[in-house]
Amino acid sequence: MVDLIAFLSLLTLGYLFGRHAENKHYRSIHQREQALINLVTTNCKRPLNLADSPDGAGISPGIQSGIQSGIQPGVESRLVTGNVVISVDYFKRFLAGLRNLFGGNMRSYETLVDRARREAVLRLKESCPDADQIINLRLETSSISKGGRDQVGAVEVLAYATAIVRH
Amino acid sequence: MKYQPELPDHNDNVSHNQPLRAFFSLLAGLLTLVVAGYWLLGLGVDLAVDNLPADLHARLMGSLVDSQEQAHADQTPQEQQVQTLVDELLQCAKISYPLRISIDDSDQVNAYAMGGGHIVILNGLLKQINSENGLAFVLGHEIGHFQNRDHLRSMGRGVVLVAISALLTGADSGVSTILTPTISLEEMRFSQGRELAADVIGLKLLNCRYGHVGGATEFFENQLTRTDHAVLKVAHYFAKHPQAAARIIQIDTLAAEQGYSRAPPRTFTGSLAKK
Repeated sequence: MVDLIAFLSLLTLGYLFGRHAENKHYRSIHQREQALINLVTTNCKRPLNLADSPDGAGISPGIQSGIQSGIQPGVESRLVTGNVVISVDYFKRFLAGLRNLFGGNMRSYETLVDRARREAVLRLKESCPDADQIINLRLETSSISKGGRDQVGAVEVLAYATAIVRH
Repeated sequence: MKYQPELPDHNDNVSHNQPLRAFFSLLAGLLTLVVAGYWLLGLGVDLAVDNLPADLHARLMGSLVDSQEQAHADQTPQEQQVQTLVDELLQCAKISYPLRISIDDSDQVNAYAMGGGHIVILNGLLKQINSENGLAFVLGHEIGHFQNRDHLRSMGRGVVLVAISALLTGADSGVSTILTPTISLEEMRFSQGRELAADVIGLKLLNCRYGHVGGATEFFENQLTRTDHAVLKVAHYFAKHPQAAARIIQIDTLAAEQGYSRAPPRTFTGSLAKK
């Protein structure tokens, strides 16, 4: 009986705190995405020609080919990364366990991975505020399990890309 | 290629189902399925046990003693006297194997029927009961457990319970934390039902041996004056045995239905006599 009460309290706490944390995180994500929207980020292998972009920032074709050959001065490229680890709460883990029995979309883990992915990309962008463009964006996901029983405890997302900086 | 910075209107990567609603509906569905499955399997166990041939049942129970003589071996005078009472009651019962009595030196007020044809009575109970008929009813109740094959029933249900828990702990430990109390509740109610059924047999045996049922409720009346007002009503729902009051009511109702008479019960003589 005591076990049941403890379990239900954990569930309730998990639900309330988890929901609060998730909403707070999403608000932060929306706000920062809006702020960083003008930093061009693609997964293309070559930099975009931004000469026609609204804010006027751009890289001319000459610079572009120079970057490829590696001899254009005043423009450098470097590796940038963004990394985040986010954990599920007890309620989500239990709900996922139920879903495991009956099948269907695991909404609880969907929001987890979505937030982690977007957060990683935002951290990547925030790590190079002086960049003109970010190209070759890739994402790697890995799960950090609690150990035993195949339960996913936390998920880690690493975003890595090449930042083009013009001096 | 022109770069157009824009964020999507809505997030298509997340499903729209509400977590709380999903939680309750999934949990309710799972509880219903498991309890229904458990109930069905319990029914199956009951059917199997009821239709088992008597000799197979005796063999499964692994009777502890093979003969009356063995049943009486190494008993104290008190135990022998109670054993005689049991043997007399057994003449009215539908059991083909002998039962052996032991008296345990404990102050608790209780008696057990154990697999293998063994009835253990605790000293505390002997001290509390003042009439031979009262003791005979308790013995008849334990004989009733053997006659109803309750040991085999609860063993079968135990296997079902272990199987279900094993299946579920494979899936998720949190799920089994909720299901175990639910199934335990069902177990308690089943156990209470079996105790009432044993009371019915006890009454029948009492009437058969003495020609009346006076003294049948002595044990429960003692329990009533001692414990019932102190304990929460709710606790009884979770208890293995039904309330003493409920058992008295059942006994009185049954006695009236069957037309059993009542007469003054006999006091103890010999080694069981109260000093």
